[in-house]
Amino acid sequence: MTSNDRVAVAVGKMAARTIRMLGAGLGSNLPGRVARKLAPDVLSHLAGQSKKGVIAVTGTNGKSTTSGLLSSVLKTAGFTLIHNRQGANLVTGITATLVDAASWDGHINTDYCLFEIDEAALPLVARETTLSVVVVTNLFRDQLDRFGELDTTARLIEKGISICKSPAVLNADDPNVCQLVPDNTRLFFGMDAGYCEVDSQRITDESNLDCSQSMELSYCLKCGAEIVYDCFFYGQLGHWRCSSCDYKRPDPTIVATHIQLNATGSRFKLTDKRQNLSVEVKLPIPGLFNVYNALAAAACAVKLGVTLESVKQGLQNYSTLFGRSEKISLLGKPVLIQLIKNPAGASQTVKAVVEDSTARVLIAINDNLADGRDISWLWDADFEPLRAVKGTVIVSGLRADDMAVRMKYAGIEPERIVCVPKLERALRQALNDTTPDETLWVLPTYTCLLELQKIVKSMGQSLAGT
Amino acid sequence: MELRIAHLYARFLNIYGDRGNIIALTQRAKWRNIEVTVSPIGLDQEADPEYFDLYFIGGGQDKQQQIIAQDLVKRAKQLKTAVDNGAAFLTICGGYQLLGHYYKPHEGEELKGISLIDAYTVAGNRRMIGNVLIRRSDESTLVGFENHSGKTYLGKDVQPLGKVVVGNGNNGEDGGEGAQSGKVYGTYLHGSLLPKNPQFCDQLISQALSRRYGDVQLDALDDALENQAHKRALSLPA
Ligand SMILES: [Zn+2]
Repeated sequence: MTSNDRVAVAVGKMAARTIRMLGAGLGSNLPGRVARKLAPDVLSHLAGQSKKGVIAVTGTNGKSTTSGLLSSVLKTAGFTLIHNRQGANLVTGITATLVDAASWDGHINTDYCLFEIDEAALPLVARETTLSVVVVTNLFRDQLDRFGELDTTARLIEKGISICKSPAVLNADDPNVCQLVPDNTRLFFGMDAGYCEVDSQRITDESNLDCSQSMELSYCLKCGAEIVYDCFFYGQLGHWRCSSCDYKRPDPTIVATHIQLNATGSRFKLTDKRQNLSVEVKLPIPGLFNVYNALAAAACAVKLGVTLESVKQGLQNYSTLFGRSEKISLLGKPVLIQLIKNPAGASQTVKAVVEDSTARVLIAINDNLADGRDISWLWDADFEPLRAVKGTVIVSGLRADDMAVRMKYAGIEPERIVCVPKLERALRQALNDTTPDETLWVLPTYTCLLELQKIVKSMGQSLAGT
Repeated sequence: MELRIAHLYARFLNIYGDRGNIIALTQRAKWRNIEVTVSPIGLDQEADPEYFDLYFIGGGQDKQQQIIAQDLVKRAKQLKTAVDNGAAFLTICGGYQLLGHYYKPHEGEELKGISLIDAYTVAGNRRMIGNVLIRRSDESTLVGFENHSGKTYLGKDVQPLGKVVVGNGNNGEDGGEGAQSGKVYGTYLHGSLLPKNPQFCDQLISQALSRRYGDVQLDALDDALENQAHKRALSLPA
């Protein structure tokens, strides 16, 4: 701690306090920006004080939920931690989280720092502090207008991990992720073939638009040939191998088997193959994508030496984050909010919606910078199953009109498509159409989610049990 | 009636919502009781130039582009025959570039195109990203989203698809967007293009059908939602 750092921390904390007092948003970045200006090394000096190290969680989908689950696991195991739970995942936001957690004279007292980090910000953070472990959830194509191409994102993550030669916890089922840092210590997690809804025959049959999976093609890093699947889950996730050379899915150490999904959560058997131990996990959040998030969190915890029993307890203790499969009650109606931001995630969310026979639907699409300005991805996501949902489908947000067209071409009768661009009005109307024994699923893009958070707060939300 | 669509490299060039174009063509034909078959044509897979009414090629990432270019050159002759037989072509972004004479990257060898469109593309230094609005010669408008760094220049045998009102278009310099030569169309517009530009979608459908059925009058559809989205897009910033 230099005197510079201490001044920076104090000023940053004051800025945060002022922002909170004025109620000017969450103010998650500004204190960090101020502190960094005064002391460029402040992040390094603060994070460096954690006793057991800094954990980074990155990837396109599931960063927030994975780090939330991991936080729950580590706390259950008795560790203290600092976590950017508000999702401020750029360098300034991470600095702000540290400044907030530090004492006024710049001291940090914690076992771990746990940061979800934006893919592009990972190299910047890695340059300032040693990352003891980096978790990569997956690499879907996402916001191509922001990064240009998927390969660019992969290179950024690789650079971030390489800077500190960090051990990596990687998704074995994602060929885009497995290519990363082959020379580092790597621990893989993956799903058992038991949960395989599409056989390889159907994957290659693209002639039927109605049942086309939003499958994303990958290429072998070694020889450039197409990646093929013995069993396929979604996106580009599955049991993959190169069609030409011997490059293939590594055998994962942390595995989920016997997966059962239902409308409110899932159950699966979690196995640590290295120790030959298994536990039964009841995960309190729905969707196959959340099983992956739980696996990522579990693998990282195991890597850090947490027992499988604590991992199980931690996962089951998880209380949801706003907008990440969180179930709340609004005006007496059950509401489940799930962020959507790219084809793979949205298609999986749609699947979870139609699993719920009581589902009503509101979809809110913005095209602000943080959402991705190109909404083409709406056409790569499988919204077609929503035909099975009862009643109206309400579309909202800046690009409500585009979403209405998407719904029509997904085969939903135009009479059932209701376009209400203003989000608060849309939400009220959707709640009005929902009976107390139904569930309103709200699918917002990122900035719609932020807006929703404010609206829900002003409506006086109350938590619906669990 | 039946509309036969060949979707070239469906599994490779599928990252910018171009599937939306296939969905739009299919649905708008089906709503008029026109039968539709969509045949995905992969690498090295034969596409009978006598059979298809409409060819679609989407956009992909750079890596895919090389693989596609090699395959496309092999079938250049057949595709020319298809054009001569009256088939319509819609090509977007990467697909559009390869319908020209060549694509010249920053470094490395030129990618040879198939010269169905009198145009060539050179790699640019700046990525042109954002909403696009163009005006066609009949005063109709097309809306979409561009995301490319290649700059395309048209030869004298081809007209641009429209004039840029908002955005960059072919190269950000000459005010043109896309290319049109008979029933062969190339454009940088994603969005997806056709769902929000139903008029253009119908033009493609009837031009494709005219190959085997002569002059086709398509039944009018209720396009209230599509027109609303189109209208909304007219006022989007670049
Ligand atoms: Zn290979």
